[in-house]
Amino acid sequence: MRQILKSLILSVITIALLIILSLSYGQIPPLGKFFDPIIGFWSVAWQDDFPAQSKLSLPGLKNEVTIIFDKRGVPHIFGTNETDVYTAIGYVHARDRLWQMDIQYRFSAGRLSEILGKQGLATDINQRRLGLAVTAERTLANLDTNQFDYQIIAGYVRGVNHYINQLSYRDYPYEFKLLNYKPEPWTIEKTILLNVSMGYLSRTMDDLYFSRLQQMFSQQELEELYPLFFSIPYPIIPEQNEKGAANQIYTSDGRNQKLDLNFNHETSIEKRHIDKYQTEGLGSNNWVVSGLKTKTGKPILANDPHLGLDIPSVWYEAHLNCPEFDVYGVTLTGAPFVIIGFNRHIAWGMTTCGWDVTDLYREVFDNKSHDHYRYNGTWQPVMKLPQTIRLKDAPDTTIVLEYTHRGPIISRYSEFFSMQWTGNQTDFGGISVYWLNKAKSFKDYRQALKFYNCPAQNFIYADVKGNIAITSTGKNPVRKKGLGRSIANGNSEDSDWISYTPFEQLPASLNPKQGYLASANQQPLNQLTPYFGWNWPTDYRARRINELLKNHDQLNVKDMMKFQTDAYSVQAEVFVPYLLKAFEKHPFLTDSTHLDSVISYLRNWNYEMRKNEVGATLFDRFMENFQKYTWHDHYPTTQNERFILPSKLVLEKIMQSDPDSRWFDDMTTAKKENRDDMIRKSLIDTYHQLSDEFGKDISEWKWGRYHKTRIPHLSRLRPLGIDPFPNNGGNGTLNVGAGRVNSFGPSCRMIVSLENPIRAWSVYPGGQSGNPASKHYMDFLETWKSEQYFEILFPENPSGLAKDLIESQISIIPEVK
Amino acid sequence: MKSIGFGILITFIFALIFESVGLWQAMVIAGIFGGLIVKRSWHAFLVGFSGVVICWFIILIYAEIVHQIFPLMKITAQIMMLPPSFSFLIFIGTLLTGGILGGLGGLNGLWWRRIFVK
Repeated sequence: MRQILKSLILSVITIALLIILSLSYGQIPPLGKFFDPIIGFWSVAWQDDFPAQSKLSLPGLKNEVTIIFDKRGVPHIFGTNETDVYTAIGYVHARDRLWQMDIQYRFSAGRLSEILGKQGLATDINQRRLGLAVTAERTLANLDTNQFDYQIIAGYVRGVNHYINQLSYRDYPYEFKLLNYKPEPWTIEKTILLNVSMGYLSRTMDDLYFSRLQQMFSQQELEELYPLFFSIPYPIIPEQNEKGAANQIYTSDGRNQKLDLNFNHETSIEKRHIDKYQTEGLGSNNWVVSGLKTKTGKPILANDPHLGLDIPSVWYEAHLNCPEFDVYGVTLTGAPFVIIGFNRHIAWGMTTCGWDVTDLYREVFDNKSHDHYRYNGTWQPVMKLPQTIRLKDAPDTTIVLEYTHRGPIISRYSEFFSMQWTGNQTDFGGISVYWLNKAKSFKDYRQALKFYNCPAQNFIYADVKGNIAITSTGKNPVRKKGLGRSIANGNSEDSDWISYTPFEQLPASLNPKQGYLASANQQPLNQLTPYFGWNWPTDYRARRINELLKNHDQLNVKDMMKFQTDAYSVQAEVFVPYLLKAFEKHPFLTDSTHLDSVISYLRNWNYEMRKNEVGATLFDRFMENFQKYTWHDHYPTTQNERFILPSKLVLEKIMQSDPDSRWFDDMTTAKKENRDDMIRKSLIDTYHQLSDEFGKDISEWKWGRYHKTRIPHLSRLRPLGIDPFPNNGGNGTLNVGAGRVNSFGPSCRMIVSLENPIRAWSVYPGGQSGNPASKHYMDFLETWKSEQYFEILFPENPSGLAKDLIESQISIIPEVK
Repeated sequence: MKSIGFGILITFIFALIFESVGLWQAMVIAGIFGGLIVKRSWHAFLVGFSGVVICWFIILIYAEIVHQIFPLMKITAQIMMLPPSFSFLIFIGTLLTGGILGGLGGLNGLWWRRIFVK
């Protein structure tokens, strides 16, 4: 009897242990299967060891597709029709980046809480209120299931799901095991949602910021500090575009609608939005040089989009080949098309336009439950969409999304704003990239761009016939006079958007006399009608690239590489002479040997923001101080409020033209300070601050020590990301990298020479695989860090790839039922 | 002594078979088979524990040689807040997990056999 009892107790203990090892605790995965040497996390190490040759069958495929992975892990997909090729890229995306696809989708859809629990709830609520998922749902409903666009995405989804369906726990990517959840089927809606969420790049809360500024400054001051546009030497379009319809919307008369808004702390829509400081110097570069200025006599196109840097990278390189097209470039995982790239006829690239395509409207409701909103003297019903947010290890949460006819209501506090944003339009703008993939001529390129909506982009173009062009495109709302810049009155139809700027009236240039075109997020034109925006990034990168391209002939690909990684600071060229002058006038201030040394470093500096430069560190900190000391005493110091400070272009202007400007006066002192006082104070404090941080030895204050790039993993788990490393480039340089430790920068660099045959080079920080144990997880990183490139392989058929360049090959055949 | 060796072998073989289909829970069953062969309780635990540990150890060492699993182990250790020099604890933890399951299986095997086989 005793033995039976003992055995029973032992069995209970054994079963209890099995149960304990099968359960997850908070973020700790179930340790039994997680530690299992065959199916647990260890198996991730061999998930990436693909056989040199493999075969699989896939339902819905019409003919055989061959996928050849080159030594960099880039797939070259050869099929007999486009849908098959898109199915194959779906399969490949899922194989290499499944978790990235899933987490990007979950973020956009507001479904992080399902895997993260309460930790993800705030983000989910925020994302759902933006309405991206609702937009995706409506866009899908607008698609005709018999049309080619639907069919293409359906093919892609089929490929993704075929991969997912064959997975068991052993094959799950590392992050799924760590977070203990399984991949769910991919859908067309998910692909559309990811396309919609790219529009996020264009969404701003500038209306909110500007309305607040209206309360703080007079109209005259606003025009001085926040002009509608600047007179810049190099707008995107070299010829002033005469096509604009000036009467359609407001001009710079400054009579912007001004509402009496209650800007208490609660008005901060979602805190993370208002906390966003204007980060000057970020953005993207693209340029194209015509054959008149190149050694080969053929155009060269260069593009480096500056985005948040993550592991896995936002980009995935791929080559798609079928009778309909033969295209190479970077794709976004979750969508089938090549976003930036080239085919046998044309090449294209993108930079963000920075247009104002988001408007906020103050709404008035009939009661606390917001059943109706005031519009044109009547009460209109508020559309309500209840949303259930599932939480891991906690009860579901329900929120109700509210919509006016303009868009979602995004504030729940003392003021209520509805948001109209071009990103919430329900036509599938992603299809324009599909047409670009197939384009063979300038005409095709323009035709393709007509479908594009959001985020507005400067599409640069070159073709093998020698044409170069740029088109700033996307939906640009046409508003009535006085609207667009600040929060509008939602009660009247007068505040509604009238239409969108017709495609033909958007800024564009073809084969300009200067022989090149360049965009670096600067204003498209110097006289901006119709209204496109006001919060323009500085044009320092634009000035630099224009100077380089203007002053060089016989350009080659190596020159383009040098330009893309150029770290020369035009900003420093503008500001440092004034800085040195301010100290020349007051030599007594430099009686300290250390300050003499600081001045000497700046005097001898070549304005290169490179790792070994001390001048770069001094200048960067100086600029931070100079801006702060010039502006901050003119702004309230509320704890929870941040402001868009005036552009550095404004600072540059008053520094050059008005040394005694009242903006230089420190309002907290009795004395009246001027420009040189502020410059001296800024530099002296720079010296003290850097001494405290890096010690007294100025020669040690190198840029590489001060400025670092960090590439975090999408999960933000530090061991999966790349720790900060010294990097060239700074605020406003072509090789951009603002701030002390930044995670923004050239997310990929691509150069295409449209010679015969086309040649191209590219690199991005990361690698093709999302598997942290894969050799392709970050195998491009060192090349990117050392400012080198990979020459792209662009064979016309599978036999065009030499055997020693092939890593593995998959033949996919149609599944016979 | 011979029976211990034989028990370990039996456990090892069954552990390998169950592992090949990814059944980590079945390490208990592998241990039970081993436990049936020995006569003392600590022998039974030892047989189950060792059989599974050896099996998992060989798998992991083979995986390291062929696929280099230790970098992933280091990453996992860091995620689990272990200092870099303690990442071997993940390896030990894995073996212990399997070993304890096998050991308890071995004890179960012996004790239940004692009830049914007098």
